[in-house]
Amino acid sequence: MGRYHRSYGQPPSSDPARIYRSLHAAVTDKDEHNVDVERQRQKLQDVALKLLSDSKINDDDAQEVVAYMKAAHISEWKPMIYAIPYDAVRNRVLAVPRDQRASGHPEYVIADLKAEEFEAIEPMPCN
Amino acid sequence: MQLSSLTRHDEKTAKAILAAAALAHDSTPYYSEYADRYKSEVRELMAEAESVLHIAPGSDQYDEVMRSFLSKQVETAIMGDSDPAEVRRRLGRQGRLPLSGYEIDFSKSFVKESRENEKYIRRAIASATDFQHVFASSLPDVGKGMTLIMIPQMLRKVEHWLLVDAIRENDKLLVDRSFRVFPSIVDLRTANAPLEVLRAFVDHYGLPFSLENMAPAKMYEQLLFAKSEGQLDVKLPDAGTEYDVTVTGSSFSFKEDVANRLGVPMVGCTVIAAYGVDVAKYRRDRAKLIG
Repeated sequence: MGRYHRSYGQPPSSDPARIYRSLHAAVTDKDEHNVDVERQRQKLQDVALKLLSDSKINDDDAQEVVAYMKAAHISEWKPMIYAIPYDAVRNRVLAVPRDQRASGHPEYVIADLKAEEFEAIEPMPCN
Repeated sequence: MQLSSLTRHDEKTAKAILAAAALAHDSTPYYSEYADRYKSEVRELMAEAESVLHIAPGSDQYDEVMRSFLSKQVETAIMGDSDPAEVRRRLGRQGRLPLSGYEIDFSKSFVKESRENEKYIRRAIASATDFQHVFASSLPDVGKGMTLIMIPQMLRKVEHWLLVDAIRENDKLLVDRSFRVFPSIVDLRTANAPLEVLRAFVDHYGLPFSLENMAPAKMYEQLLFAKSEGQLDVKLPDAGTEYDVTVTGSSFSFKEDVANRLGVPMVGCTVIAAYGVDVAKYRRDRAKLIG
């Protein structure tokens, strides 16, 4: 990336393009031990336990999340990029505090993004 | 392992604390804020985990070891006493397992009839772009199901689809038939889903046959009937060609009161799909195009 590009210096862990490329390589190379994918698997189980304790799902649902995560070969994963039109979320974009950022570069989150507010795109299909 | 920092809470709170600990370091503020709700409980839980694991914050591989430990705890908290294999079978029955999660095997008739290599079919299934689980519409939870898998192929510069017909039973797929579907021969203009492709294929290569004395047809779909015990009655007209009839369905016993009313021993049958193929015609086209 050229040094005058606006994303120059953005660390890989918070650069959507590099995260995408890394996940894409993990899926196409069938890297079953990819740390990022493994973390996603764990996180989905963690969220299932949270939803269970909030009574938003039942025992069967949570157990099925665990079974699904265990059964899914890495080829089932599909890295996507969310394209989020800014206008609809303008007031809900939060700057991530410096101590939670990968570098001095700005990072943002939208904690309550809704399904209808973005398009999921798959720039390079893995199959 | 039972952690004492959790066992002193009721089950629901213990699960919430464990989820909070597992999500505490997530970069999404929504989850880290959730973890803040149980700040002191999470701290206590982490201290106990560090003691069990003999690691201290900041030590080598702390994050990795702790994450793996918490992940196992989360899994145990969710699964409880339930049998993971049974949960997997349930997902499989409902067609909700990822395709790679099904165990693949081959029926005896596939091995006998098919000219396809099993390894090749396994590899093709692993790269499948499209599949469809078909259920018995009247009794979707009863017995076996049908799974159709489509994989784009290019052989001898001929683009076509490999269509695999498998019997789904719990978390297993028993590959029963596979066909090469050539768009230059089979009219696929209105076929999108795998079942529609199978219908188009049977429309071209099918031969009528009769199932249980029903009017002859190339393909039957979604039947529910009672019959006397024993094999399904399949009648093939003498067409002077090689027939291959495939039936996917199940039989089931009636409840005692229904069985008593029937008076004679009968079973219920669901047929998801049954179709007959003119094998000679199909093999001729296959040989002509891809050898």
